[in-house]
Amino acid sequence: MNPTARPPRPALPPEPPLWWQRAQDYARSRVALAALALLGLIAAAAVLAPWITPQNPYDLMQLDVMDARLPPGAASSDGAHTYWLGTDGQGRDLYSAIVYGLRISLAVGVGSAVVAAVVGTLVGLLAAYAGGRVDALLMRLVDLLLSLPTLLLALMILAWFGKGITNVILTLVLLEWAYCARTARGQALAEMQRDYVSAARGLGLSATRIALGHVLPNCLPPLMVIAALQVARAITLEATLSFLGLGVPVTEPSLGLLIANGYQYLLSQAYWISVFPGLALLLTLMAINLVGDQLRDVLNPRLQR
Amino acid sequence: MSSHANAEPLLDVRGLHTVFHTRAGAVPVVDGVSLRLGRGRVLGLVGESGSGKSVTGFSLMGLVDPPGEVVAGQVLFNGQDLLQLPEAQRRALRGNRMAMVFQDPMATLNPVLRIATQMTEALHAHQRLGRAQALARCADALAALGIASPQQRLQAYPHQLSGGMRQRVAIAIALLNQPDLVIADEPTTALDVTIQAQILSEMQALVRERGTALIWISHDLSVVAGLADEIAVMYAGRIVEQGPVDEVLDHPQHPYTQGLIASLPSANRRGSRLRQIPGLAHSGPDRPTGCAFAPRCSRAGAACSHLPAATPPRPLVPLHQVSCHHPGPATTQPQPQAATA
Repeated sequence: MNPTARPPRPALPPEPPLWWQRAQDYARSRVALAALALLGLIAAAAVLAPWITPQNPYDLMQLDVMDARLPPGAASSDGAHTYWLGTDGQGRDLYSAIVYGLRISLAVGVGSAVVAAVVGTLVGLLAAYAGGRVDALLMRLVDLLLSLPTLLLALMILAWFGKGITNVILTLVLLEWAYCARTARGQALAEMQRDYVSAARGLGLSATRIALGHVLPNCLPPLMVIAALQVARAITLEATLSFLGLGVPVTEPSLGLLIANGYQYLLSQAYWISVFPGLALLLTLMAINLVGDQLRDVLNPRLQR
Repeated sequence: MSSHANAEPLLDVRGLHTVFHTRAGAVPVVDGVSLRLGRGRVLGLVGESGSGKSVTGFSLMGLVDPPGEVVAGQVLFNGQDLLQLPEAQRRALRGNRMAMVFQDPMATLNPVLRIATQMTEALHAHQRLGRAQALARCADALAALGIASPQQRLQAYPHQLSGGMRQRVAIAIALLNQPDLVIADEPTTALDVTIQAQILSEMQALVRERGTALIWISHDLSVVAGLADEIAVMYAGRIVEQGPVDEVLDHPQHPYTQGLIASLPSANRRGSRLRQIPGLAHSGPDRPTGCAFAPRCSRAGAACSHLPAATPPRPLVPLHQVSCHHPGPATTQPQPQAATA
């Protein structure tokens, strides 16, 4: 043994991983935490819909026209169950319809936002890396898309290609990717100026590898926030399109279509057909926006402690 | 001739020109730099801010980005002209045979990737290795730079490490593939003096042990004096004086080198005013046609304003080169303080 050797230093307690620190930052706001819980509840309800609803609102065999427009709390004509939120014009249990409708709304929202974010991010990275004419071309395309009124364009596309869930998702992707592309490009351009990119090049890494392995992870926080808020945007747009009759098919009503269906009864005392789906939509959008806002605060390096 | 000079050098730079394209035209930043560096030798490249020493390093690595451009010259590395190589081949050399350590340890590591990821990546870019094997090599590399509990450090993110630790990691990454040449761009400038001394001695030991050649870019003459075998003094994109470090520092022939040395604070002249070189370093596109230092030089004569400065080697020390029309030992030591700037 070397007599001058110092005793080994006790190992430092491992610092909690980054995601845990972020989670703690997030939890500092109770409202945001509640919004996250609500969002989790909504998502769980959407996923578990067949098991937590008394009827399948899309199965016409289960609907009884005799039960049409029953107020909230009324019993079904066969006495088997209670319609807690009332029924719509076809005798659909509104609670079941809302839960199933959430399913469609969330699927459309999340699906289109994720695809739009991925496409937009890759386009933005490509523009930043390629520069020159490729960059100019892509960004003018983005400018063009962002300058057109979204709803009008969506209506035109859907009127041309016909409605249906897939078409709605594709339309939303087409209209939304540009936001992510612009942000990703700006972020990537800023990150590419930083020394770690030179250092990575100095290590002989390929451009693709640096773009995807080094620059992209540093661009992610703002993109995640945009993607989260775009889920809300996409849900709103889908509801609007469905309300206007160009969204999902009547046989599989989303929240927007439910509101549209109830609209005609709104003045004839059957307020619940529109109001409850509307409330569900409102709560969902509010929860997503609150979560998105808090994410932005947590992930913003300038606001970090 | 001494023995290390006639063997084929590891690096032989001839007439390197790098310009930056601006609205005002192409501004020469590296203006005909020629250097030779033997295997395992340490060269100190000194000069003040804006003298082009960092851009020289970037040019050698092939990391000059637009608006910068290497426009002329040869960079012979192991006898191969790097400037003629296609980018793919240069990339294969980068991080493998030649590596660079950057100035700011806070910025050169990617903040969102673990140290392990960034280190193994450097290995995997140039060779096939299993993950466990690569991690073991990385841990060894960290340990060689005096980092305690390297296994734990590998799992850390850069923000969890101190500045000195980060620079050690950056140096460890540069040395990972046992390159022939490391270009260190003021790697200790951002660190405090005690850490600087530790890192200097560790790095010195490592390059000696492995026979790695080192170009140490610095504005700190005292660091270079202790570390380098040879020294090259840059001014306004040109090397004004180069040679064995002791020779150049003890018998500087160029008035700029003399001015640099005289401006160092010294314990012998405590309390007296520090000497300064009158005027400002030249920058911008409208460079004088002759010697760039002439406007600040007390010896400047008619020859300096017309011709680019010549390079006559001194007869007694053949490796000591000075580009000056009026070389010679410093004239008057206790020059009276005449601030005629």
